[in-house]
Amino acid sequence: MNGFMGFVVGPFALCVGLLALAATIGWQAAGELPSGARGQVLAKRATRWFIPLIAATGVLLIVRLLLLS
Amino acid sequence: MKASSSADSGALGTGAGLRPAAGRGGAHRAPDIESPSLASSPVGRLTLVIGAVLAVLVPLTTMIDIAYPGRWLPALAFLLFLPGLPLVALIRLPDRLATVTLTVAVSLAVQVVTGMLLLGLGLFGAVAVQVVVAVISLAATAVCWRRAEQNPVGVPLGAVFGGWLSSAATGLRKGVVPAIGLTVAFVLWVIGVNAADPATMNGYGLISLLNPALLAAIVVLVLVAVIELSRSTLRGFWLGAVAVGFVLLLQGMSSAIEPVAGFPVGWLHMGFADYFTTYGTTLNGFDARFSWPGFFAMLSVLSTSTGFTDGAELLRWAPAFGDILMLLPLMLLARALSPSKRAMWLAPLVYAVGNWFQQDYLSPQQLAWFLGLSVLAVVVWSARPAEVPFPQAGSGLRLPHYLWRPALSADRVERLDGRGYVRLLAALVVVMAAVVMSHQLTPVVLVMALVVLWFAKRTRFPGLWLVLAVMAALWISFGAADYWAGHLDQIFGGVGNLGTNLASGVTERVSGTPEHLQMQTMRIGFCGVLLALAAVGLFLIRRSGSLLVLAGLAFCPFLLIALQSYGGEVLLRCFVFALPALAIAGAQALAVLVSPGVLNRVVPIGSALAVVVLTLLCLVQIGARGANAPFERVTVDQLAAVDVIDEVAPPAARIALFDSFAPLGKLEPGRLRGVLVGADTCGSDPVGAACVIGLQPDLLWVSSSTDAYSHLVEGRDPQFGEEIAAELVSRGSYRVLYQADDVTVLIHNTLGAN
Repeated sequence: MNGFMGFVVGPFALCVGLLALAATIGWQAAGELPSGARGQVLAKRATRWFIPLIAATGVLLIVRLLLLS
Repeated sequence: MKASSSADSGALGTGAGLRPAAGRGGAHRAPDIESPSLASSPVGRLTLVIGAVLAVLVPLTTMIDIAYPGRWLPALAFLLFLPGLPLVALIRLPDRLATVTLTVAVSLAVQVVTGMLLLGLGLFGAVAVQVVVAVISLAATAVCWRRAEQNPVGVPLGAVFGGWLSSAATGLRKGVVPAIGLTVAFVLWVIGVNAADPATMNGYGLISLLNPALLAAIVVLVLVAVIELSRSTLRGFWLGAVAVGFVLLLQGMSSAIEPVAGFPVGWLHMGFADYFTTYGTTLNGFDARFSWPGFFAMLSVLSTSTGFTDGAELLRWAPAFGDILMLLPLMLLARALSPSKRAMWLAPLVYAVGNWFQQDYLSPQQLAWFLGLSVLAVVVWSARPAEVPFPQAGSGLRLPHYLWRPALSADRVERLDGRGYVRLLAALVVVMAAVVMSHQLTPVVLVMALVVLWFAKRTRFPGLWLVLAVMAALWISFGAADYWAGHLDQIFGGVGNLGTNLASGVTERVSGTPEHLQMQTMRIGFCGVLLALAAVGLFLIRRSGSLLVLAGLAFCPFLLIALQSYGGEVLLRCFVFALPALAIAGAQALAVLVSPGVLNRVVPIGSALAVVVLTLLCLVQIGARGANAPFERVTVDQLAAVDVIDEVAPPAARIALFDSFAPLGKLEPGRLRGVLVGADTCGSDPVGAACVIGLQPDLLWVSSSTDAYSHLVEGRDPQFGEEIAAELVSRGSYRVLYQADDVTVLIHNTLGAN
């Protein structure tokens, strides 16, 4: 059952993790894009969300690790 | 100590940090001016055309598998320059050295990442990887061509090769002394390596093969180096040639002396790459390294496309070639952090003489650390330190100001605007992805190094360490799940065990005969010398603004000791990761000897001392690097024995070994099952013929490596392995399957016909 739950949590953790990665990269790019640039709005939004997304990823990965090991 | 040396010939480009730039806190801001596109000059267009031809030619020849002389050259060029050349051209970096460094790094990284993506999709193959890379290259080339514009401002990227060719031509015209000196050194080296017979190596290792020709080659090369470094006007072309000469002479020595590559683990890596070539997939559960398969996938493509399918030539020359490549990010980092140009050019020499660790064989760590160092070098280069770096007086701190964290963030380099930095970020992310997929330790060290850069405010991407940490966490969780599931203690078991980890890396390795002990002690002492030299260098440049960064990069890898023993190799790996920064720091100390100061004012005492010091360091390097050569070397006979075993042995046959130096990794993973004959497997029985009979292996391997290791390290009889083999044959349990000067393979009498 633990292994099964681990495999269910896995794809969800991966999606959140990839979002967290994209947000963290966006946070880095935000400082370099000129104001009004096309990607600047998304990059600024990423700056607000990257910490919660990283935290959520960490929790999900730890849960998955405990379920699978 | 601020920059005071004379100007060089500009072979390394403009260099960042030589002129203060306006930044966020400055009085004005330089206008954002892009560098011109690669296709804006004839040389640039020719470069793109050559790249496009390679993009079509190499996948085609790989697909058809045409054998022609020199096939390896375009295949290697494809690996190193595509698709990095057109992709990096789109970023328009205003610096030649940064451009070439990032080009090679991005090319390798894209090929690793592409291989991994195709592996995940079940479509992996050398041709498939190269076709994808070719499509990316051609698309980027087309974009470059369309965006071509005539922009006279700045250094045209097309002048990357044109500028260097021009410097080379000027250097050749005016450099008779270094030209003759380097030629003489090379000829002496060739004579020396041809005269050296590896079979005559004694307990002192490779240093015992040093003959007068090799010694003369070292002295001549060092003389040329010191003469060039002592000039009032430094010549980049010749100093670059000297740096390459040092790497070739030192790291290439054993490659030239031995007919086949040593270090049996390298053959194991070729075996893994062959598995990818044959089956196009990883082998789960077999070895931890299959959980970080990026390097092996790339190696599979390289061996297929070059035609070097047995890997012999790749293995043999990987150390020298890899270390020459390493000079690119090293020089970029040295130029950004060295206040003195003499010290900057000394850094690759100190790196070459300090690199005794033998982790530069064909291995994941070699690739991953090249990529990692390239990331660090480009990040440091692209971050121009602010004009007023330190907090104002009166802030209440009592530390010297050069130990304070800078008050202002780094500025952009000239001629690279915000969009350029975003593109640069994208390139760095791709390179870091390749690092994460290729090696376990390098991402950890790279995260620590990027934290150092964040703390020292020497980066335009202060959160880059977090990007890498997220990538590494995702890869370990999903890509390497096969490794850690059920083996968490292997990852975390060593955390905090500083003493245990250190003991396994140092004290447990210092054992054996007096000669071997002397060589191991010399290795430890040499590490101490490197550290001491670096400490002196850091003290000398403490007011230059580079102290925090250099000290941090030099010493942060040693935090690994607190995390894991890494099979007893953690201290070795710490020095490998620290060496670039240690070399740059150490070069600052040695630069005093060749600078036009007190030591060289009347009589060149400093230069003479520099010749003596560098020569001694070279000799110590040869001794340290080759100390274990008597048992780490692989011979032609041993490789032939492996082939015979492959023909005759039944599937999954058990083979008994007394050590881990047999090149059996050349075989397909799982072909044989190794049984290590030692105290653990023999129990109360002495390690000998009776124990082997009790273990009932199908095969037994003994070699010159067995005899050398058991004698030099374990203190046994010099003919230990051969005596056991002879006894087993005389007892009637085994018969000889293959025998030569360097190897004996026995097979159980119940197996097969003769």
